[in-house]
Amino acid sequence: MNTTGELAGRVAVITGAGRGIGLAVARRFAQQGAIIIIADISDERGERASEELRAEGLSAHYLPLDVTDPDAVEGVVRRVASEWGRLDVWVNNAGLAEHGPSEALSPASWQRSIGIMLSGAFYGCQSAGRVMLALGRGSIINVASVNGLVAQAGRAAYCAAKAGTIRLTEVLAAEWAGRGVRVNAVAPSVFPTELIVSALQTGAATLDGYVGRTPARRLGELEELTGTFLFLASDAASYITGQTLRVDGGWVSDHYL
Amino acid sequence: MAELDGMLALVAGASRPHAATCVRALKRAGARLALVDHNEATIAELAGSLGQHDRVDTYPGNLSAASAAVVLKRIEERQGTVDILVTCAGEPTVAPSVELSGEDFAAALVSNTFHAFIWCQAVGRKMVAAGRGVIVNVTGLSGMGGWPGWLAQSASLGAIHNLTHTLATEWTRHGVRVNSLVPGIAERDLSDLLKTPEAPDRETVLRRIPSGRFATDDDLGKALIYLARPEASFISGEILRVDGAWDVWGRYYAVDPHAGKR
Repeated sequence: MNTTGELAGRVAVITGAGRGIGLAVARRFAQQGAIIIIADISDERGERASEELRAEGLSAHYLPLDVTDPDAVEGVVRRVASEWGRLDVWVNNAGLAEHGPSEALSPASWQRSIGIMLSGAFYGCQSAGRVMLALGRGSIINVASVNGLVAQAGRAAYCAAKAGTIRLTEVLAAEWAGRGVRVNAVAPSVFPTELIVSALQTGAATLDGYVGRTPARRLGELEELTGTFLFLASDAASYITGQTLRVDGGWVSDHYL
Repeated sequence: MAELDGMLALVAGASRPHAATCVRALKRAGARLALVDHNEATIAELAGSLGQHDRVDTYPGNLSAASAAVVLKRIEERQGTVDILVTCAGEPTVAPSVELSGEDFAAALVSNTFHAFIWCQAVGRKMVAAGRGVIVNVTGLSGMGGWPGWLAQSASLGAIHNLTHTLATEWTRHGVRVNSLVPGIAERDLSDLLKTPEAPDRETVLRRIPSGRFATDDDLGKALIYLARPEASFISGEILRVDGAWDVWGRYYAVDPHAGKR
């Protein structure tokens, strides 16, 4: 285990870390010496991910979590606090990407997106925040999206949840900045996660579409994204709070054709 | 009675791209007009096209604070107190940023940002003292974010939006409302868009507009009157886009906004 890394000895919980961006962030944090708790709704994914990290010599544990249940979120926070005696970083990453015409968007689909990504992020911020406020320090990172900053047609619930997450981040930062707890958000564009790769394979999305929309004219690499999480989690960002940091190759800056 | 009946509207930069649209809308709403521009022939022609010359006057002006003060004094002597100020942005200089000359960049800051500043300050000073007045800065969509090749225009119009915000925070308490109006892409703007390296065709531009059509003069004119009239008395510091959802749309889509129309 890395005892000199930027997060050496820190305890970090990442929701939805069984795969995708969450798992990439978990690995990056663990490589910098953090003790990682992968909280996921799927036992299978969560166990596999934590075993994968442990096989790489990293410190990782799995706890089952449905982020839409505030009691379950509180339970994970209490368990981490009692087992490791600290909670340094909490990442609200759990999410899903449904889409379709808004005139046909079902209340159930709306509730699912808002429940997991917005309410789930709030429960995580609140429960983790209470422990961090008591400790007088902590870093919370919410996974937003470029779609929380600009509209994507056909993504009403997703965009609303992500935009809400950004404002939630700002409110909590304003409330807790004086008490040592930082709350920031990261807004990624498109990264080659399993979900994106499969969308490209099935033709649900096209590489040309993504690349053409991105001023960098390429997709991001996961390492380029996880570095930002590491920065915000670390002491290097100790005066940064309430920020939504875009890792988007210029996506949101481009308002042109 | 028309909405702006008898009010005096000063349009600064009256030869510029959206000025004629604004002038005609103000005229229709019953306003008297003072048209200011260094291009005297163009504004004389515009004034001539309106009829009722007793309600429209033109003034040559150039880009200095001293000139604005002198012109404003003449307007006040001839036509009375200015109730509404409209400043109009100029034509864009489009070039790749690595090639844009310092002179062209500075020129855009002067003709757009500085132009808005001198007129807002000259007229705003009087409005603040009088405890009433409306200012509308007409800008452009490139002022809302990054537009490749439009550096000078984008930077100079973005600066006007923050000028609008700041003046609103200072002057609204004195009864002076300050807003920006952002015109959407009209068909005649295509020639500007075509100057960019990628030279998009008409269909590409239309697909970029969620409304699926170009902005009309009427779209812009009605929004201007809405901001100018007394009923908008609590609206200040607003950047009002009349753009058919151009700027809110992130342009990547799960559902094609135009699909339902075809």
